[in-house]
Amino acid sequence: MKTKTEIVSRLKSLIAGELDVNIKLEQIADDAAFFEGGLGIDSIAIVELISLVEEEFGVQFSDDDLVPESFANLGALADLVARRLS
Amino acid sequence: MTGQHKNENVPEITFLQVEPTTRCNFTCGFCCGRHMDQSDQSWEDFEATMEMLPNIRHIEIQGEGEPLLHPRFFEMAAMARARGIKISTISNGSMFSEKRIGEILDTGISAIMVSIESADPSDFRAIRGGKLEIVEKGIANLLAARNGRGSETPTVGFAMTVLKRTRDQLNPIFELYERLGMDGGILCHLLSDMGAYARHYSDEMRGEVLNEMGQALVWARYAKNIRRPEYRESPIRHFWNDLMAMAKDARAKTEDVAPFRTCPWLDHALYVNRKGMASACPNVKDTSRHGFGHVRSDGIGKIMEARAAMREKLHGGEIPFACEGCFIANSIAHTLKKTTSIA
Repeated sequence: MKTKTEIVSRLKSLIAGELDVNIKLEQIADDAAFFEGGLGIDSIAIVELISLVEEEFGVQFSDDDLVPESFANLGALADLVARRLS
Repeated sequence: MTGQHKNENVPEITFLQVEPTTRCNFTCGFCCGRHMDQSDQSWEDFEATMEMLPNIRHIEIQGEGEPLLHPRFFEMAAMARARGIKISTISNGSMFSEKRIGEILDTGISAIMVSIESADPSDFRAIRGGKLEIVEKGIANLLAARNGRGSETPTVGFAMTVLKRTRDQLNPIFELYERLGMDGGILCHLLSDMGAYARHYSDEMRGEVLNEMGQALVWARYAKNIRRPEYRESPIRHFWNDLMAMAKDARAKTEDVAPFRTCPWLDHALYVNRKGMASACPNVKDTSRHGFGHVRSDGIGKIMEARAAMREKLHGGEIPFACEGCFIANSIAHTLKKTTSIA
């Protein structure tokens, strides 16, 4: 079982290392929002991130998971990943 | 022909979309074609367009109207076919009579997409003003006739426009696609908030535009659906798929939805509307201000100059006025901004 802190840390590494958005690891706060006012990534990059997260954690999100609340910020996405891992 | 082949960039145009007509027998509430003058492209403009572009590999005969209503649609297709050009179109699917199905098959059209927003008949009628039952029957008849001839073409798919109220229709539309034995793929467009379209929306329709989060989640659901093993898609793909594949970037980590670094339209394609005005893509409606010129009166030289100027602007990180609100232009600007910020 991974802690939320561990999941957040891996999500940050994914965004900084794999996502094609040129955001540095140290620029990402634990509760960063994805869109304007946060990381400022666009909708196409979010779709790419969802695929990367599923691959990285070996999980599959259902349609019920793909709702705004799950992608409000990094912490919410980490909670979703934790639920799927459990 | 004025300026023919003078511009060295003409050979790069391998994709052409022409708008045969703005006339339509449906009344979709989001269609800007219903607010335009109802007219057909002249044969002279079509012929001139084909003559000035010698390297077209794929043509899309479709604009803001029902293409099959153009009285010379099949002659347009035949002219393209005689040059070995792949032909695509998008239809509302209501006019697949036995005679037209025969003509579609005889002309050798490669790919047909049928527009849809909902697989629910009453929703479909409320949005499009047409009957889903007739569209379904037409698709079934077209596929049966095609299969009866042992032909792989035309492939037949759906072109889906997603509104806020129809975002839960993704799965039912995929189910309908499978039930009808379709194989042309499903295109996913989001209700546009570009000015040229949105200025015609009612207040209610304006409320149907998805915000950025909503767009991302629809795209994600769509990407999941097209990765399902049950999803069948012929390798003979529609114009839109072939053109978007030209923008595929080696740096993208995912297969289906990836950020853009260049505009495939400005790299490889040209759009010519029913008045013979050339522009960057079908989203440019005010061609008197943002068009490249008329195919006969201005000629290819002027058109290519204007096209090169727009491409230079966009690829320099500035969104041209005509491209404001376009998801490709936004993605390019976003990617360039990020790249510039660390340079």
